[in-house]
Amino acid sequence: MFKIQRYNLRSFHLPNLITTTHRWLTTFSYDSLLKLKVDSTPIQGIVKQPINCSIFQPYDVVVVGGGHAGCEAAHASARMGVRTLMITHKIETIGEMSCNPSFGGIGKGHLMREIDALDGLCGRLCDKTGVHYKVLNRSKGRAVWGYRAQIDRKLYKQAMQNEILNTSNLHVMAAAVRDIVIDKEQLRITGITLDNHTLIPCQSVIITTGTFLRGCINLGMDEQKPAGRINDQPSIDLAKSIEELEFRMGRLKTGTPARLETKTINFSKTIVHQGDNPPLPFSFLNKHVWIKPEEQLNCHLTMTTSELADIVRRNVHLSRHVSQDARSPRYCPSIESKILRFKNQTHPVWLEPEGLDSELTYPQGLSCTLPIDVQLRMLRTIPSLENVNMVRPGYGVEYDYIDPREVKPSLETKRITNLFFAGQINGTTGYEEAAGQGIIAGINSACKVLNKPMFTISRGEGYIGVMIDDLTLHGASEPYRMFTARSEYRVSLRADNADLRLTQAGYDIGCVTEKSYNQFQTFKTNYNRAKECLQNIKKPVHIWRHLLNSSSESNTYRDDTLKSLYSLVHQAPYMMDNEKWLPLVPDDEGIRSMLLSDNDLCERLCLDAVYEYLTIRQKNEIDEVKRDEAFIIPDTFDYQKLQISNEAKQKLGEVRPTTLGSASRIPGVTPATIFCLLRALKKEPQSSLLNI
Amino acid sequence: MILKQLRLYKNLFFHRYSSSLSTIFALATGYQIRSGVAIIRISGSLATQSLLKLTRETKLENFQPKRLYLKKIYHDKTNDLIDQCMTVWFKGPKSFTGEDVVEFHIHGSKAVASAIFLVLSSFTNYRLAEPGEFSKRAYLNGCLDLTEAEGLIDLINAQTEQQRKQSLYQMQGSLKELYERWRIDLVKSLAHAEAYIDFHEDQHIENDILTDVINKVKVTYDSISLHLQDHRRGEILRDGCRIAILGAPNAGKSSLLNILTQKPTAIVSPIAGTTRDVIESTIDLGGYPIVLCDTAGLRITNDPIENEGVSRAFDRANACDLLIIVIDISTLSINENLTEQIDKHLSDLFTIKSSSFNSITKLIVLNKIDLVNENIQLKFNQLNVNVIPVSCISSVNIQEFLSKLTKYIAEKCTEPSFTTPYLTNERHRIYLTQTVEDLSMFLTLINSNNDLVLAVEYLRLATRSLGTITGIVYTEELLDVIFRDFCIGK
Repeated sequence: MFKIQRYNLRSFHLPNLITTTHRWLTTFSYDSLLKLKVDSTPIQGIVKQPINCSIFQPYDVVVVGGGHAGCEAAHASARMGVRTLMITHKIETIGEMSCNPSFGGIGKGHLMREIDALDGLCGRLCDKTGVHYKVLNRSKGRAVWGYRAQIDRKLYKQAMQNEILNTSNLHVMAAAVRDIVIDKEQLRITGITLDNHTLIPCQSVIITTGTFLRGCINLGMDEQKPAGRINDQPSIDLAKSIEELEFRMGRLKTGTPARLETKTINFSKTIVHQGDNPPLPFSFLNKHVWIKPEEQLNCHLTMTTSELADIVRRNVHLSRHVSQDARSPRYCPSIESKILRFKNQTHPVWLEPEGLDSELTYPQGLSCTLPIDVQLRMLRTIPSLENVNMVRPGYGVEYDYIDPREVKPSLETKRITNLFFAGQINGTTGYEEAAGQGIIAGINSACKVLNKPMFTISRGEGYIGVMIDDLTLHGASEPYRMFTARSEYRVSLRADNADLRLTQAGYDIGCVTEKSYNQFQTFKTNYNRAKECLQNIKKPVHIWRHLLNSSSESNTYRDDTLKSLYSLVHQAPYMMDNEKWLPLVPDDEGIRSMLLSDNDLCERLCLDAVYEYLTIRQKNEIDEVKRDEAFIIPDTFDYQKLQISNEAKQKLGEVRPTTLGSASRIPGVTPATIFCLLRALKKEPQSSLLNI
Repeated sequence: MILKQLRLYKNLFFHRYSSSLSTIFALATGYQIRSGVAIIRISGSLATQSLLKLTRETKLENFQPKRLYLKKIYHDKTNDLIDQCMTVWFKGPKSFTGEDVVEFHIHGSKAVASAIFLVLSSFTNYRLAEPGEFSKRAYLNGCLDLTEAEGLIDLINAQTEQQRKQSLYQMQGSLKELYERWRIDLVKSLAHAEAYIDFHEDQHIENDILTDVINKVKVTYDSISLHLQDHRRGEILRDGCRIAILGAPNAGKSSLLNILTQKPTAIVSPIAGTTRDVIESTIDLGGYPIVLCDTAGLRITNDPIENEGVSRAFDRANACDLLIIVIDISTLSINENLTEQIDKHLSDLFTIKSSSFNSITKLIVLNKIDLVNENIQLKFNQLNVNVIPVSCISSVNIQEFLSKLTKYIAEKCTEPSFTTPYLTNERHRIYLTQTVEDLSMFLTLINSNNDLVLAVEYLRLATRSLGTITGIVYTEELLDVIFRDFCIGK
């Protein structure tokens, strides 16, 4: 059936090819598929849409892993119309939230809005599974509003599985992947093999295995067992396979706190935090979230005491996780390192609900790897947790990650054509960071199949771009987490304008569906019309003052400068006060009534006006960066032949930047080096290919 | 075919982006060379604006491209006449860079160059060119071929090297420390503000952190503004106006030198005759290059070494453009006529080697006023204009002394032979001015506006401006501070 000679099968030891193929085919019995529809027991085989499913046609894209990166990747690839297969250990853990029961936050919320602007999943799923919506940073300016929500784990997982299992072009298989199969001459992906030695040929592979590569759980001093997540098997063969391909790998660690029984917590001793009213949706597609404001669950805040610090200090020698030297982040992952590194005795602990009908509470801020008995003693020193029942202890996870400098901004590896890495495997932490990479890897693997140019987001276009640029240039010496501080264009890259930044590009490449695009188009037309209208109403400042009726300063002096209403709407005291400025908008083309009926539109116009001055200033810089990004450095470029310092050669050789722009962002690379590089690139005719 | 396509792409591409690039300017004639004429080159889509604004013309049609015009140029805000000079402009793409280029062929004077630089940097979207940036643009726009470009790298290297040499790394003493301190302060303030934005709500960062940041920024702001107003510009390596410091032993000549150079150049001790030889030091005062000479105290002595020192002091003083004579006020009697006493003191000093220094301008410094207890302010008002009372030890009246000295030097330096346009310090000044402006925006916004991000953006811009002088501030450095100073967990 396949020309086996073409494939260089490194772990392919079966004597008879036909047996293998046969075994693989038998897993497609219609019965097993029907059975799966009835109850979702894990099953080996391809799931879903037996009628459309033509198994005799090889897959285009295989996604290994069903976490947050895997789901976005598989869905994006399928949205773009290529045949996609997701392979995961267990179907029932697709979309599992392994750690905190929440999505979003400052910086992370921005990532979610961008994923949504590219028609990704996590934003809109959170809009129908959240139990407590809260926008962080409300007092600090719209550019850094952090959309965040507590999510019902079970509902989210169900919603995600429902989405993944009901997407055309996307099939799911429960299996473990053993090996990546490559064409050794061309260094190109040809397929993967499963642990039962089944070969699945495909054009592109996306690896999104999170913490499962040689994952290892730490709990106290004695318990250390291989696992990617508690009760889940790690991927050891796959790690070996990746290592054999000579990817630079490292080891990172992360942790998760204990889970508490909600009814044993005395909430009267905590500070109650309620959700927003009205709760704001993550997705541009939604006007509301599914839950009624008053039905939201509460979060509770308590603080650790000095007693807890004592217990930790006395027992810290019992924590293998802390004593080992796998690199942990500068921001403290565990309560142990918080106590050891900082003098303050008390640290905040957020008690977060795990879901509507869940009996568990997640104590955020208490990630810990001490032995079980110590953990319980420790917990019970915290006010409100004196009688708490610990359902599951906290634990640490250590895992292999790939040096992200091995991947290009498209997330394709530099070594192997059509092999992509996305998510925690690239050294990031957090669902949103994983999802953001997933969608890019998904889009690009499909682009490869469809012979389209690579889709990348630059630092000036989105936080996803900032993240991937940071990773591919500087590597990850600690788990990478998104903060708004990481973006130099924070005023331009706001959560509110993610759609204006990315949706058009997403539609052009094919990952945004017609339905979402139409909604975006409607909004954009209205937005442009309204903005133009506001910009065109010009009157002298003192007239505006009079009209806007700010009694305190009016009539003090005459100011004849002509200003548009647009340049005034954001100025205090009119700012965001729709009632004041809306009546001044002429209604000849129905713009006033449009604005009156669409509060969201008014708000976004005001926001743009607030940030306009600085965004224009930043746009110039972004364009200058883009110009340099257009010079692509070929993969095979030899830095040794440049007449530059050895230090610069070494740095460039190590990072192997993909464009002139990224080369200039490497610390220590001087303007002279960049010019040298530019000259050399101009000599190579193919290098001036443009990245647009 | 492919090549043709590529070229098409390239043209499209540059057409698309070149319009939004900043307009850049720099001295095209080098920063070190003293010359009768200096050329300021401006390149970019907005370049012709400067031509109109500076010459006060309204229509570009009045200037044909590639033609020289003799024009008076003015400060666009104050309307002061800056210089009369030749101007020319080249319409892109037929220009050196391929963009619109304007050139001002000005008199080779530092004052003129720096005035024009300050005006240009105030235009929107104008900025100082990076080393080799004109050439880079020329190259990108296809106006330079490969052989021409070969030499460019050396040029950029040389320019970068010059700047590096002149920049902070080569600076010694208090100025370097000063810049470095500002940098550390700003990085810390910015990091704390960033931490407040990113982690305040879920990690319980104290609320007063922002008040701390505002206070710290205020201090830095004051310090940089003071530095910019201050005429003391630190040490640079350059020939310039020669000034000798003369006086009786132990009058405080070396202390004065140390104040002027802002570092312990000469050994200071209570023992008369500490300085034996001439100590030379070059400084930059109010933008003027100066060679300062500290000399041995003038007295009749039998010590052959000291005697030689006194002779050398006289020799040097004769070759100087300006003399600063330091007199210990405690050797004069306050209640009698000071002017008469000063004259007598001077003639006593000068007759030691029978000189008069009649033709040289003198500035007389009455040192050690901290030792005089009486209220002598009234007395001082009656002194000649070239006499100024100070205290080197307690820094009393030093500002007045410096401004008076600068005035004297300014008069001296109007002769063309003293004027040297140079870039490095001009760069520093432009970026420091930018820093101060951005800091002041930050302080205004943070007090009036509830959009914190907008305010912090100006703090970021300020840090970046300062970073161009002191070394770029990378995000990693900020994160280091954040995670060192705050406990931030998952």
